[in-house]
Amino acid sequence: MKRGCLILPLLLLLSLLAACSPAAEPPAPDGESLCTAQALLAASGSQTAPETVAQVAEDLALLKVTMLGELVRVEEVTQEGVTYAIDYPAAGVTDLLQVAAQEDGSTTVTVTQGEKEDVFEYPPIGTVRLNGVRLTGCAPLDQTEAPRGGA
Amino acid sequence: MEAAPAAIFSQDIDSILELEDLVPGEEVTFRKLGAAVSKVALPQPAEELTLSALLNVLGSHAANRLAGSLTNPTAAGFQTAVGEALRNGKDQAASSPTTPGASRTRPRQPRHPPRTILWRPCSFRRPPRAKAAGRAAGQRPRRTCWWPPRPGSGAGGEAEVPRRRTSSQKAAFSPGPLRAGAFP
Repeated sequence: MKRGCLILPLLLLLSLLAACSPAAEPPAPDGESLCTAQALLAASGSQTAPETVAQVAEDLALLKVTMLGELVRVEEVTQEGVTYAIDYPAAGVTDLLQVAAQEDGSTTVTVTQGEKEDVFEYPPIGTVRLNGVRLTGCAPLDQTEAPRGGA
Repeated sequence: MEAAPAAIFSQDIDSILELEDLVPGEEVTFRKLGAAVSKVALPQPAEELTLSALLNVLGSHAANRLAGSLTNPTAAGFQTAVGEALRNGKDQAASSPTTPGASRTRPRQPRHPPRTILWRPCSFRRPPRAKAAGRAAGQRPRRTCWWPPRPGSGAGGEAEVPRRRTSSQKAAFSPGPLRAGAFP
């Protein structure tokens, strides 16, 4: 009986730790992301090999935490990865984006515009960082607990 | 004089991401994002950031404000509206004979996409006609929910002043779960 009393809290603690640990695996692309990936690759005229489609779908799933996921188009597919682009017609500029899932479960989005470069870091839990600086009032879009009443 | 990138961006964002100063329970439209913009602490001057970084920071902030102000998270809808507005802008630029650089000085086009109402909960307002009728009858204005009359209820489009329910009516009344789109 005593042993059972000891094991039960231990199991509960272990399950709690397992639930709280950051997910190292990037989110699996859903069917919608795969369809969007195929459409983006077709629009860019790039190869639509299954690995490339899966890569783009995975990147789109990662970009869901940002405002940029629905705005990108595929710019270039290389051995190193896929480069995305967003056009700003009023400003006459195009930004290039690269997305990467880190081992700790965070997502890094690198934006390049000419000589400017900005790096967003989206940790699994916590505040977004832009160029290493913590952003107040800015959280991943898929977090259910959004800040109330502005920054 | 050439406009600074932040000014160009504000022109873009002006037509894309304008957001009304939000009050829970009010109708939400994409107007006046400027009010929200000033509340985001950027790590660097706006001119030093890429447009995508600015869009992401300001847009995420606005979307989170929406989600925080309303019970129903609407960030996804907001994101879609932003994407649509950008695509419309791209189409306009493609159909325009001017070069991309010339778009900085051209007269501003009629903008503001169709107002997108994301969420319309009980507005706590009666229509003006009902208010006026109430005042004429010597009634004090009351803060009460108003629903448009149901077709076939005999109201004939005329606004009714809601009456207090009796306890038996209250017991029989079960509003059910509140959901988006439940109101016309």
